[in-house]
Amino acid sequence: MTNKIQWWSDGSTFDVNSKKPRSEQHVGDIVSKYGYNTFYTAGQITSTTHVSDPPYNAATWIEVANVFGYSRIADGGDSGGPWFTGNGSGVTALGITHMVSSDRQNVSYMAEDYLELMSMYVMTSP
Amino acid sequence: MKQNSTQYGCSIFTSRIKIKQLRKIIYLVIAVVILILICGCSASHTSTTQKTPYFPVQKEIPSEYMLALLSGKLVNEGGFLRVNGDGNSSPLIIWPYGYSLEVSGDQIWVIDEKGQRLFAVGDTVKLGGGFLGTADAEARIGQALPPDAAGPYFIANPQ
Repeated sequence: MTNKIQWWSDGSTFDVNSKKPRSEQHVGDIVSKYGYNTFYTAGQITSTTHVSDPPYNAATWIEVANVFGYSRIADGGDSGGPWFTGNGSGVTALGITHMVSSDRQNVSYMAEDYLELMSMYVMTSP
Repeated sequence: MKQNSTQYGCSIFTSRIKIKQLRKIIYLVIAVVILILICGCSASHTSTTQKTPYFPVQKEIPSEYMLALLSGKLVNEGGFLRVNGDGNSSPLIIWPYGYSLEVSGDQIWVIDEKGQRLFAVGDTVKLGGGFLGTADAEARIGQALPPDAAGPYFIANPQ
């Protein structure tokens, strides 16, 4: 079984052929997301130990800065949307959207391996 | 002298009756005033409950916003502003910092931090934000929620 990621507002999808745990995601990486509200946006990882407001104040969130000038990198409705790298030849799943800074210029996501702690798995191509 | 004394006694007696009557009148006036005040307060309280719903507002701008989306009709259910969406629950809205309420005639408006009318009770709304439990919702508003303010609680982001 292969999960697909919708990456554009016209419904276009990418196959997910790999996944990357938090330990393999690094500050400086360019990453992309898709969301219900702000659709496709991308940014640069600035922290892999980001701490959110209580009750989500564990230092395990991955923070991404809006380095490409979107008016809002994420907004209400984007929660749970996919983060990934790669393109049409198959993408790497990174995590799902969590929160956005109050100026909507920095967004955080949960790494995909933390989903597995809740018995949810990203299925990749064989 | 005796006659004078009797007349003097009568005069004192009459004065005492007048003073008693005067006291009765004063007590009556005070009782009426108290009654009017009580009725006035009671009427005012009833009016407030009907016209101005409970409006919990976050005590500060959080560093981050949750990113769920709540869509549905904004309703005033028993003095609490809730959104009736697709699900069975009608979350009580915890409004963003700086928001307020305006009652204008029969309409109740939600006013944003810039003083602009955003939507009225009865409108279909879309709110970004997320759900929190009672303790975290109370921490966001800096005070206890009323006992009858049942959850779930949706922490709304500014528009």
